[in-house]
Amino acid sequence: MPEELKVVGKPLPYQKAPGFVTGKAKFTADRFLKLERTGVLYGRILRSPYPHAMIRSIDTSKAEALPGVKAVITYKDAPSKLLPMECSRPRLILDPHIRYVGDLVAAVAAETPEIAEEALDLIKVDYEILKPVFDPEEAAKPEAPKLWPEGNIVDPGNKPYVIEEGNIEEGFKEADFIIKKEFTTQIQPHMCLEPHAYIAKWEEDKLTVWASTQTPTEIRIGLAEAFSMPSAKVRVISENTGGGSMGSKYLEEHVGVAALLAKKAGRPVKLVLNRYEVAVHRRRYSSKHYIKIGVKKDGTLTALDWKSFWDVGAGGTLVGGSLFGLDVINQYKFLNKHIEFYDVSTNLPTAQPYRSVPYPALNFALESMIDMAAEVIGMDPIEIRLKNAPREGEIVAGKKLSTFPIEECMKRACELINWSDKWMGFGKPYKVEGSKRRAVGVAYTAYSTGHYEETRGPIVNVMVDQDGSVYLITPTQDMGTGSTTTLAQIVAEEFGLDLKEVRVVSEDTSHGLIDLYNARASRELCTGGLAAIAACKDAKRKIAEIAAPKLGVKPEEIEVKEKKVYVKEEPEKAIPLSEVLAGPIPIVGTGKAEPLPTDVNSLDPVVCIADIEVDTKTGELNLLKCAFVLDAGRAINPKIVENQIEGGVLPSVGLALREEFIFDEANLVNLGTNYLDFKLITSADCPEVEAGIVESIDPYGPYGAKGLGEVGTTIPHAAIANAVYNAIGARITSLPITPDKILRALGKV
Amino acid sequence: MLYVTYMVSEEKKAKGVSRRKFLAATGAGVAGIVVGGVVGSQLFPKVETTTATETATKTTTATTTATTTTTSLIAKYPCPFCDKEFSSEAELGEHIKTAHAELITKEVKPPTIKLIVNGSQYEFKIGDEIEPNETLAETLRERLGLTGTKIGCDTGECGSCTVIMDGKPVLSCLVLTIECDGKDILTVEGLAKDGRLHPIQEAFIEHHGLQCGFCTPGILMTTKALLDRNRHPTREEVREALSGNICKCGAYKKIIESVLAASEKMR
Amino acid sequence: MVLKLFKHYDAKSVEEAVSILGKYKEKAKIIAGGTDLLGALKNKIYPEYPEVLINIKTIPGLSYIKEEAGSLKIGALTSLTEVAESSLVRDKYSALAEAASRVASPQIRNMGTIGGNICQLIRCWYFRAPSIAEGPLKCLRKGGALCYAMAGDNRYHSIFGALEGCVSVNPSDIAPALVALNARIVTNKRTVDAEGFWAVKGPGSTVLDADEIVTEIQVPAPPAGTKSKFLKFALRKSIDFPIVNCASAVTSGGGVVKDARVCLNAVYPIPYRAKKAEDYLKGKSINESTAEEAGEKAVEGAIPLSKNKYKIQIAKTLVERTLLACV
Repeated sequence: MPEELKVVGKPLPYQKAPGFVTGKAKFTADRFLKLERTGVLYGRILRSPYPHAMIRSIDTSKAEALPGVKAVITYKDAPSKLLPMECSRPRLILDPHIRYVGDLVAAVAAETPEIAEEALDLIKVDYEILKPVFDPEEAAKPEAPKLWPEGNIVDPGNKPYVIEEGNIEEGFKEADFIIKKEFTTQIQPHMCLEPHAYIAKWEEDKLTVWASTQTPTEIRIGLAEAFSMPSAKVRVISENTGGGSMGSKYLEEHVGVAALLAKKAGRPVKLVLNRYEVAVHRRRYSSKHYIKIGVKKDGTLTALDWKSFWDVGAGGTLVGGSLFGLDVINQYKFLNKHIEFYDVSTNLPTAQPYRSVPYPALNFALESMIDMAAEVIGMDPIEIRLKNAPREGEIVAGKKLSTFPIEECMKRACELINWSDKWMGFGKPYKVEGSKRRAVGVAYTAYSTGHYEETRGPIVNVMVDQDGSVYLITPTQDMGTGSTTTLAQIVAEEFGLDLKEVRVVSEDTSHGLIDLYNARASRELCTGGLAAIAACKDAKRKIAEIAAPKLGVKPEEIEVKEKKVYVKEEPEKAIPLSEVLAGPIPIVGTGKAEPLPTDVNSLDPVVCIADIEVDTKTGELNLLKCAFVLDAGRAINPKIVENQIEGGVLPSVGLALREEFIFDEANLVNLGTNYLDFKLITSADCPEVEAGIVESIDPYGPYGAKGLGEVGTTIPHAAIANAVYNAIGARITSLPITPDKILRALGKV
Repeated sequence: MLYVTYMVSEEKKAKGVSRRKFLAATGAGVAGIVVGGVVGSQLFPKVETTTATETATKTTTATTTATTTTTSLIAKYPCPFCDKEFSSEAELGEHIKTAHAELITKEVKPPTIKLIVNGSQYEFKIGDEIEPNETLAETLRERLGLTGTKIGCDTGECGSCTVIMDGKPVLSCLVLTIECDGKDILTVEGLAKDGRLHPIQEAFIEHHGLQCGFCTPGILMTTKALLDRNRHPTREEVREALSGNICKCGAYKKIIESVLAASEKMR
Repeated sequence: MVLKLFKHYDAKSVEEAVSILGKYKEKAKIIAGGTDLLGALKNKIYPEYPEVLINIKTIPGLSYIKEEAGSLKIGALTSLTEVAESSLVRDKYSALAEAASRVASPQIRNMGTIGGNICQLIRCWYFRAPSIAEGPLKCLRKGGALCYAMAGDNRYHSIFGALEGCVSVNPSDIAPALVALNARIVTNKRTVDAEGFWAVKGPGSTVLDADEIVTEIQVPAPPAGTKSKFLKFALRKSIDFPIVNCASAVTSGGGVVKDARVCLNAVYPIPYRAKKAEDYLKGKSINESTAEEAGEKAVEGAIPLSKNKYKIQIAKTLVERTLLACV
């Protein structure tokens, strides 16, 4: 872009921040307080103690008779239409088929939470116990207990997701070395800090829902469908959503429960999950990988044979390898490929997308293998990656790759961590002091940049007032990603305004705008930004049409900027916008993003180098520093990009070191259901993250930007695993890397 | 809940109706608080439970036997002075006034607790308004409308509910409101004065010390307590002081920078 | 998680608290800092939900740190922050200050008391399973017949076998420091050596009777030439309970050990005094080799469960390192 940008690219403060630092910003549970005397009832849920069962009968009479109880619901009250959830299997709001310990059985709405909880104890349930299955490989077998009529394998046709390219046998024949290994990753629950909260209120046939969610549109349309109502009669208000665990707050059964309770009770119902419920509500898959690669002495990757099983829990869908898995496979130029991914239902809590979805597990396996390949041929780990990564202009997955500055990202990461001083060779620490060993490890990935499902929205409106201030009305939710600010920066730049003259409105679906894909897949900035630009252009076109006769030119020759309307060639001949617009009637422009051309592929190169220390006498693993470099295309707001990197790294570090939800099959108990047991990273454990931003100015993104909200979580754990190998000379192939595993690898246990 | 306070008559005191005897006589339905001759009673419905026990077997490979007990609750209101039981508060009240008139000299106001929150005083009647099982977090949010203080885990593991009480950061989800009589409490709403943001709040905005904002109030309170105690903490001291506050978005780096910037501002 | 209703007393004296305890017995609990109790009540993990809570924070005169008659005396209601920051404790009884500074999080240290810390319940995720879906789990500490950890996930449990059938761990950081420093626990009824204070008593973790409360902790002034050290190994650097912790106090003279007290915790349902290590060290000088050997001796007789063998290595290492710090 030849002109200097005034707002885009500046580290301006986050627009929503004042509300949060004063405590004035409201989250869902902050509404309908006792002192407001709204007549709200409190919902509580009865949950199953069995992993797989059918409800034979359920007697709620005693619960209903308890003074203060206003409604009790079971599967008999639930609508027969499924909640059309996109990121987990559509399901009945309450189902007689129970599929995991903690699954919903019944719900109560009462005057106080205490009474609601007492009522739960009065509900008598007769379960027919069914045989459960917990291992995805077992569950994929035809003889396994069936969780869903379509079968347990979630991929279409109850068959695995298969990719065949070239000839895999030939590929292995060509190889000089063949490496084969198994990897596993653990269940990592989202455990968002703000517990899921919903308030449902019916007014005659209209339903209003206050929800903490990433997907207001999905909830609106989903509830309308389940309750067989027109979607115009469902309104979703989502002021702020907390938690930083991208992927846990979508349309889900609890909002249906709140709506159903409110309908039966005839009063508003507030349902707030407790910590245990949040833990068993949604989580990342666990996975098992059987991976084999062939490599030549010169570093060419001749073959990739990858079979993996992804446990997606009771109601997960394609949240394992099948979602974006292809991008990881394509981050290296394997000459021949055979991929077989099974996403399988099991009798465990439902898996749902969690920040970068399959990337963490895929990269753990693949990046470990690439390091092993490099070691066996005697090549530097950075060199082998640079050799096999694609470049701008090359064909990746049948499409031409847009900007891809992988060399610069590698170089920057090495500088940030001082790689040249610390890289000693595979299995060689750079410092040994007593029992403590320090080493570095590298990982890389190519991340899909958020050009996704553009045809499904968002559709945004840009409203220009007579005084020249602008409103961006968008259905997409900002859950802490800062998208309201970055989108506002884009709009401000388009109109030549200061940031504070642009407001973003997104809390209420009454605006009628939809985003059928919602805030997912890092697309808020990318697809949302393109939509905003389109809406700005539409608004400008409408202003230009009004101004054209006044300026005596054609509308195409007019520009609208800095609250002025002028002819492009003659900026000094400008009329104030306030004169062009007649009275306080705003101009509204509408816009939607155009999809990427079908022959273009847009990816983010991402590099992470981890510097770690292992205490070989206790197995303690300390992350000293982590350099993380990505290509932002253009950093619309560098501080927000840094926050997304620094914040995104933490779940990956958690995955590497300790965060784990455990299901005890012997006793049928969920473990790791609070922050203490599942070991969430505290500020005292947080590593030093050095974020590096490269800007390649992608021609396909808004102002050249690439989407990147989830990128931080894709690879740090892979870099850590590689660093551990370099520190202790033994490879840990199962996450999390606990002291137990390190001590075992060292032969001390 | 019925809250009834009676003065034990001087006569009865002389006759040896001591506090201990009173407590002994009242049985399971009553708690007594004696403050200089005034007997305060919190009368709770006595809960009778009838239990039916069923055994269900949870089977996979191991067999575990689970016992489910269904409880029925029957509310009864026992008289604190004799053995009679009544089925409603009103009936009990009537009974006391007639059958035990000699014990009552006057009805007095029930004990209250006074909270000082962000400089304003609030008074709540125990029993009528606040029960013993209410936590400070709930009181601040639901009764005073100060929803800045958040409930993240409700068991003291995340720090979202941090407030400053008598100068120290504490977890309000683990504090019983009735134990806060006379305490000076500061919440996030009390940081800004007359519409002007506190330097800590300004620093967090300028330095991007937040993302989704849910943990922010708790972190601001911990920060305020830290900077009041130690105006120039080192980076390590800041990290240590914040180690009881979880930020799931992972904004720790910028949070620490914001705290250090705030300490500069407050020089 | 809702706190069910209970009656609440503000006790004005130890006698009053004890008298109410005596009346209600198992149906009453005392509340000091509340940081262990209220979480346990919200999750409904007690076999019987208490009817009465007795607030002892309103008892005057139970919060102090002083030196008197050759002993450090700490009131039971003294906050952990105060113990951690007291220069008296840091200078002369360093293991205790170190332990106090590593408990939980800063907020919990402000609220929690030293008396409460040593009385806290065991840590076992079956014992503490919340009463929601599969809970409450009536394990044998609650009058049931089964120990879930035996066949289940016991990665954080005891490495020295069972005590009365239970393989949980005592998670207190203060406890091993008190044992290493030869402390005494004073209650309204008696004075007990720290070592004899913890026990398996139903769901409770101490020898306290139903009508007994801790009033003071006494630590005798260490003999000349004594150094003490506390180390905690946890997966997180804050908030976490220990996987293993260890406190050692060594009195040296003439370059050799005259007396050593080494106590591990989070390895057994009660604090575990490593007597074999102590005996081994007498008369020897502490160096890398003897410290390592002492570590080996400390874990002699360990009985790992299916998932916690790694704790033995960590326990060994902590013993070794605390001893080396006492040179």
